[in-house]
Amino acid sequence: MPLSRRDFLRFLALTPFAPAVWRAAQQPTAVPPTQATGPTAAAPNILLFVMDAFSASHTSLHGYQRETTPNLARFAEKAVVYHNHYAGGNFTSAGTASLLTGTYPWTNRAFNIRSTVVPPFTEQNIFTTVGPTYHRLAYTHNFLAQLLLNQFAGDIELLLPMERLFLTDEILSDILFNQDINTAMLSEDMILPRDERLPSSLFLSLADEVRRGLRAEQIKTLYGAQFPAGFPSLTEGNHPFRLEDTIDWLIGQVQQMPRPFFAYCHCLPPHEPYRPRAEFTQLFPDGWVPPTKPQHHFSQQWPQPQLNQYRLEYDRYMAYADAEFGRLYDNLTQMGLLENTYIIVTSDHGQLFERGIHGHITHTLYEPVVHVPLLIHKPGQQTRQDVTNRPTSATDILPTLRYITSQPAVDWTEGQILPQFDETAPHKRSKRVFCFEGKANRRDRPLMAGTTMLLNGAYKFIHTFGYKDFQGNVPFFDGVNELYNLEEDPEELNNLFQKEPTVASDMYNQIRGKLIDVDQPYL
Amino acid sequence: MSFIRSKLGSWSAVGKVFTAALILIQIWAFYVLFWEIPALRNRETTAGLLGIIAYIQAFALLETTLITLFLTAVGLVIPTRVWGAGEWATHASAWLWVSGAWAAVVHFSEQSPLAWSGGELALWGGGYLLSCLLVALVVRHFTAVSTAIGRFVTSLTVLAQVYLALDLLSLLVIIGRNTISN
Repeated sequence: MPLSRRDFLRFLALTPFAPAVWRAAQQPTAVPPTQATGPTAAAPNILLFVMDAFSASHTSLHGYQRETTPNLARFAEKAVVYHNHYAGGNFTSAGTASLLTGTYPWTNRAFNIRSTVVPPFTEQNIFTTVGPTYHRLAYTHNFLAQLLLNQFAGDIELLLPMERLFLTDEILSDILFNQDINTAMLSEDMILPRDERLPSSLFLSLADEVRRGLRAEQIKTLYGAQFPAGFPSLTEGNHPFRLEDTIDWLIGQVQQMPRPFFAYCHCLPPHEPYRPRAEFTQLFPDGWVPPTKPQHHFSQQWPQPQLNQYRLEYDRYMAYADAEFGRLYDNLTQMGLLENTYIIVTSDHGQLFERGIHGHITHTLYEPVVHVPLLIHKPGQQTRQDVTNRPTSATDILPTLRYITSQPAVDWTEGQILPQFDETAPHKRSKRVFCFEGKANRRDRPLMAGTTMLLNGAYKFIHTFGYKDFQGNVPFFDGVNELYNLEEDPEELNNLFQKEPTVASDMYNQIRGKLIDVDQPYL
Repeated sequence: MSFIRSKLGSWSAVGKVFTAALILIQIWAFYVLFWEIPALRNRETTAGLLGIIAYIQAFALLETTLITLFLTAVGLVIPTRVWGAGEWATHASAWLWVSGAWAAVVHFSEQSPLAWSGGELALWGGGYLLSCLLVALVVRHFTAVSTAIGRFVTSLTVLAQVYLALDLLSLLVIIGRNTISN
């Protein structure tokens, strides 16, 4: 058998790091599952299925004009559908941390790219919430989500490293540096890959790129016909995978896992790069041109025709992700798991194709990048329920899981039990739904710059502050403020900030008050 | 031993090539780190930041070692007359710096080498090979250049020792981080 680059590097690295390797070898990669006993063994299973960058604004389920999500619509017929559900942040670290800890990024402090949560939340999260009576499993394709899951590894019986389900298993950190996994992964990401920034390795990074290219050609000969536009991958050309493999793995796991189980599966599609399977590459030949919106201060200067093309590719990729979800759903149905399993489908954030912006690495918080789907099938549910009158947040999922698993409420979460669950007090809810973007801040200091969104009924207030080159539109207010009535203006084109001063002033004060509160521990 | 001496000149020649490689690879690693520090400082604790620096430094040492071993192997295989007696270290150092310059240019160009067209590959590859050949000829035929390179590498020894100490310290940091449970 020829010695692969992986084997060679592993051998080289083993020599100086022998003690660390020895130590790592002593650590089990996964704790053997134990069968839950007693009354909890009859508790319902929970499957939390996250599709990354899955914007509700692009789902036919929520009125998008392209039929992107027929399978999600099928699932919705036996689920609670939350029509006004919002991510806690506008990219993976912030959005996923909000989902997993029930707190907003200003509290869990995962607001930087590649950031992780601050210590209290390594013990206060969704995995500790369901507790050890559940057999807990987690998997993600997403590097940023993997960093978060690594923090919670002690409370997850089976945390499968992301590369195990990639077509190339190339990341060495989890093997060589198991005790220091996040720092090692972050470093490895800076040393060799050339996809986003300069690598710290001058020569070997180039050799590695050529090696990756050759490997990609090999994979292409195996699966190229299935993916003529290229493979789904973590970044452009690097770490290819097939969503089919992940779904197959998940189906196998839920079949054999001890009951009750809690499974968190965070799939990358439809996150860019958009690489659907062959049968989805020609979808939507409608020539549809979405409404053009004004350029934003934080525009990335993408021309609208290019954004429209990206949108089309994204929609096709979403249809592919939806189809694979449909396959998962059908398998769960055949296994009879719908009778005793909560199935939660959501996303960590959305995606933008407007105002000169593509993607979600942006300071803006417009609907397509923060409005995400949330559908929950309750065990045995046979009919659809729609929640249209109240906004909900990613931070609500954790307290809802506490409720489902009969655990007392906690005061550290910023979410509330979701409507259709907390039937004892459905009208007591005074819900403020926020979203926060703050990549420019230090996580150990007060917030200096960022964008905050607050929802109140039909109104959405966006407050952008601290960016030196982005001046306020009203002199006596700090920052730039936008107010939209989403019922009358779902495309967010008519800023009511100056036209409705009472609403604007009230929501502004709520946001500023919240920002002052969350800064207190860091002053 | 006499075989190695006849091929490479002396054991210290290997040290000189190691020095030339270490300086080049470290300077690049520091340069890249410099641009990443603001983002790292935003999200990392001091311990996390030092950990990342340690991994990058340790990999730089690994890369330096591999490159030196590669050049040593090349020096042992290729007939001495190609380099000139005792000139292996000078040629290897010159090749390293020329290659380093080309590698940096490739890194700064946004295009991946894998995306090069046939013409671009010919341009980049041809330019690289030509520059290597040119430098080799200059080193081979101009004693002053050869001597200057030798002196320059020698003058880098102290700096290389500092880098080497940092790298070894980085190894200790990594071992510590992976031995002591968080």
